[in-house]
Amino acid sequence: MTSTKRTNGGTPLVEMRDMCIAFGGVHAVDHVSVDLYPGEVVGLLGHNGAGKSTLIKMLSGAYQADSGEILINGEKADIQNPRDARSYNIETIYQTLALADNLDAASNLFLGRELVTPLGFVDEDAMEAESRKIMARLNPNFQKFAEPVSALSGGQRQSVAIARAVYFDARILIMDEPTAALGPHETQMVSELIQQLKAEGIGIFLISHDIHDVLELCDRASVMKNGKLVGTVDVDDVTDDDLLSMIILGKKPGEAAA
Amino acid sequence: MTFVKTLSQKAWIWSFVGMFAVWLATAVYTGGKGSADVLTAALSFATFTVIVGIGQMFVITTGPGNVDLSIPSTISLSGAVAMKIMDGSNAMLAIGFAASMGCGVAVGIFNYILIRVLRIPPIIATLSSSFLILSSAIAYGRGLKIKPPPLLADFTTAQIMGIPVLAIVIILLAAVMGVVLNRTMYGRSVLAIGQNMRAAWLAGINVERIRFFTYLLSAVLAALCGFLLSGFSGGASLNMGQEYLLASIAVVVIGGTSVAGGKANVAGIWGAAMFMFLLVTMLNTFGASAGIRLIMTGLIIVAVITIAGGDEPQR
Repeated sequence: MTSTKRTNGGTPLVEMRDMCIAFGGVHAVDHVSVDLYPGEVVGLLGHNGAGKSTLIKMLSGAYQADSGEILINGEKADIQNPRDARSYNIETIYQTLALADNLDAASNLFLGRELVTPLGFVDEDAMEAESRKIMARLNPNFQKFAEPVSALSGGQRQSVAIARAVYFDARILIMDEPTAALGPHETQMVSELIQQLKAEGIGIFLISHDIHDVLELCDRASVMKNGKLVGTVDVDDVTDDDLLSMIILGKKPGEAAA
Repeated sequence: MTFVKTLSQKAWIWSFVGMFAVWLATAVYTGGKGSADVLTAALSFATFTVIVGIGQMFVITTGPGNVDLSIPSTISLSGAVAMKIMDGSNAMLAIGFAASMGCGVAVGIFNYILIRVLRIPPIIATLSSSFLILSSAIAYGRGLKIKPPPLLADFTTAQIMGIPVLAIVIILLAAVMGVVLNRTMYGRSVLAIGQNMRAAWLAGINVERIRFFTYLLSAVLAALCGFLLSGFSGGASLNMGQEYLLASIAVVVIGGTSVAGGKANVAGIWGAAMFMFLLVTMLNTFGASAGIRLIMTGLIIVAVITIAGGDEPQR
């Protein structure tokens, strides 16, 4: 099942090789390898607890792998914490929308990377102006720049989280269930955004357990079950039933289902 | 009208409202006699509470469970060390001040090591370190009855037109710390950590470094308070920090800072410190007995916090 469209054999943007991590004897991720090419969306599918979020948190720096290696543009990367991940232009949009509730949208967008004046003070005006610029592109309806993000709807919070990732020139974007908290209109907005980012050559890992999202948005899908990789398939080659049986039975299409 | 409304939504305004209310009540009772002197005294004494209150505020703002209980003993240690080194000599003033700051830095680092390396909850860590610090002060400070250098004593008690010079300096300090809180990356990080520590970490903030600086800041400010207070009160004593344990926390809370973290206010600390002093003065003026005084103090503080805590409901 390695029939990908990338027959030209370019260097992958990300290669995670033989990743392992265990929590107190439970092998949450067990010898899993995945890769991602520029301008590609790779879906990570699986049940709750299959290990997909855990796998990707080793890339975003939230967890440290027990073993395995991560290559970025073919070179070995050392990712110990979220700051390291950022230095490789890896940006993450978390399922839990990691925002500081009492700060406004602009402050959250620039959290940890505030714009400062020459004297070293936080430049709120510049931050708000930049926020307005990026929001005009992502979500033109967004107006609540002065309010704390706790006053925003799920979709608005999501746009802040996405804007944060996009603003800082992400090369590799990780989206953990980006549409889980959203209404249909906002989901549509995220889909369009993904297409737009793809066109800019950004590689995206999309974690989801919605097969239809994956079929619609992704180029390839890697399916996990019980911490192990079931397989990686080209979404054009499979039906939703194929994906479903990979998730549930842990068998690749073509293999006899037990 | 909208101005009044926005103002009444600021939690810190209530500490100033309370302050003026008790001051007015006192003035009315005494027929206005000496009410200016009362304000001068309030400024003098509130100054010291404000110094430690600012440090405590930054600590509390880093989130639930963060509090510095070692402030009183740091005040005592810093005062004792500074007095002994200076030995009443103006020439030693700079060295005494440096030694005092050194105490603060040492305490801050020690507190942080307990919290970070030994993973002790801050409330226990700073409480236990306060015993160690106070013991050091006792062991060190045998000659506690040393007068401060005249220059220090003069500076800490000087007044310009009834306004204590030290109070002016600390108002400036509070203004600077207000800018630090709201307009620097450090202050932003403190607020973010207090609101959502995990989000702050995931956003790439170096959470542990920020917490280290915060406990360091609190200890250094406590040391500064000890140094100035021993100049003000004519020497150091081992229990001179005692009343600042609860006072440092009370002024932070009354001043509109959230105990849950992530929301802080520097101006409110000044109002709250003045309020606390004037409240006791008022009850004294009314001739209330010690028991009544304590009960009233408690009740009024609860009332102020309840009114000030009438935050617009979140969501």
